[in-house]
Amino acid sequence: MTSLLQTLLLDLKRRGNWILGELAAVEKGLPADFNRHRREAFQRVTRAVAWAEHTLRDPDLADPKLEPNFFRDFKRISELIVSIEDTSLLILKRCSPEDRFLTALLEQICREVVYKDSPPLCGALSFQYFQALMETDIIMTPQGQASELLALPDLYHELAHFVVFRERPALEVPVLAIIHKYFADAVRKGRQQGLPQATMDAIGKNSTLWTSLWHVEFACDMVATYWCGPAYGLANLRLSATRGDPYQDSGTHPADDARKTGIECILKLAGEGAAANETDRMWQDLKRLSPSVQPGGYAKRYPVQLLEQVAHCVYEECAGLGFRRFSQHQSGSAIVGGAIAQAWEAFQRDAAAFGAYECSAIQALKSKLATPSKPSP
Amino acid sequence: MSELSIIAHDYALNAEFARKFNDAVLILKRRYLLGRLGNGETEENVKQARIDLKVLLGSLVAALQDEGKPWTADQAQVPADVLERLRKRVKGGLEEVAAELRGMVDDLAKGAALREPAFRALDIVCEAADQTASAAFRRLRRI
Repeated sequence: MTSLLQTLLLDLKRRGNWILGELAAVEKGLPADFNRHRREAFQRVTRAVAWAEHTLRDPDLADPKLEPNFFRDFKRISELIVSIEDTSLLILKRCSPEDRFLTALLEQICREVVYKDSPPLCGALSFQYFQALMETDIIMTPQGQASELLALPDLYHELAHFVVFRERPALEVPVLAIIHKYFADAVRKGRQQGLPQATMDAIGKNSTLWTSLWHVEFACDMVATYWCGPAYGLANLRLSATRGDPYQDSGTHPADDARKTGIECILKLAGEGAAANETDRMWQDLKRLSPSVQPGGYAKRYPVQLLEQVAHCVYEECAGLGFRRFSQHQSGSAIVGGAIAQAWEAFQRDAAAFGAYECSAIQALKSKLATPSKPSP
Repeated sequence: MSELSIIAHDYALNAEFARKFNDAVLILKRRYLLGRLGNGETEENVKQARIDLKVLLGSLVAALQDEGKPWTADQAQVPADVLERLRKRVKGGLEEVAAELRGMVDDLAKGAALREPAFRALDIVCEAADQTASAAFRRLRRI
């Protein structure tokens, strides 16, 4: 009699084979970058199907001691199949002019910042702002992203998610070490000073928030600033203005106000103190418009000293990993980085006339990206 | 930038740990509990599984015993969510599980065979890692 696990594996194999058929069918006419992603997805699904077939032949599959382990493997493979169907296949089948432009744009960004892996595929299909999907090597953007320049710095942030994940030992682990040490010192000092239990609990809670997910967001902002420069700070301010309360945080994201401080730290380290001050001036103006008030304990939750230490670490590691900083490009060599910086200058100069500027700048960008360019020096 | 990017990051980390841990345990369970090798496996696979498991367990034990001790980079191998789930899962039995896992690190270092009680502790870790990865996946896919 066929066991439940055998049935599930047969189902997984059938679903995998269907996706392989679809991936084979979309090959014709795909641009080279889309086809590279298609080939990689095809290989991964092929391996998944081969694993299912191999496991189905395993004489110990029904052994009660091993069956739960096989089932856990099945779940991970099944998650991969679902993810490829929902993301890779969706973008490859659509392959709209917007998807193609954004993918070419991201590929150029990768060249400019000296990103070492294959550039992720990009699709303007998101219903939740920008998304970096590590498992399938995809970045989703909002629908209108192919027609606008001011939010493009957020692409650098999404790309940074791949770097922070893949370069964990070089980037994330040293950052975590700094954060753990900072809060361990705070606990030690708090004990010495006999601080009340509620204060000690708050230190513990802040430590958990920083070490679980916040450090990733801070690090991604900092890497993005290293790559993109002052425009990233401006794009962050623009996004924050639409999000509302600059002091609001969640388990996944630190407050926008603290993220702004992290961005400024990198700008200062890069010798762009004037740009950091200008971002801060605009930020103060934004806060003047906002009814929000800095909550109690905010300074202890987001210590500037800690942000500075983390920024210093990220800055050094970015240099160590061989990434090109925004200010290291020779004049005119950063096609996308230059277009973004110029767009922000134009916007700040005359926001009312920016629409016309943006249309022609996007056309110019499309022309440049359509022409094979030499690698950025 | 959106919640999904950070959840995707979290899922990738948790799934990778769950996969690595489970794969090593599967090979070693078959070798030591059933006394044979799997389909296409060799003693070289068993040796590698022992090395992988020793590294992962060493990190896990260090992370479980981190109270009051300085954090080390080794601990970063174990996702925080897995640790939290494991702590909740074993509650008062944490010391016992940690001691079992510590003993296993020693056995793996000495080249000793692994015994059935060791696999009970390993299964608890496998389950915690699997549940954490599944939970992250559900958050990611909104299912």
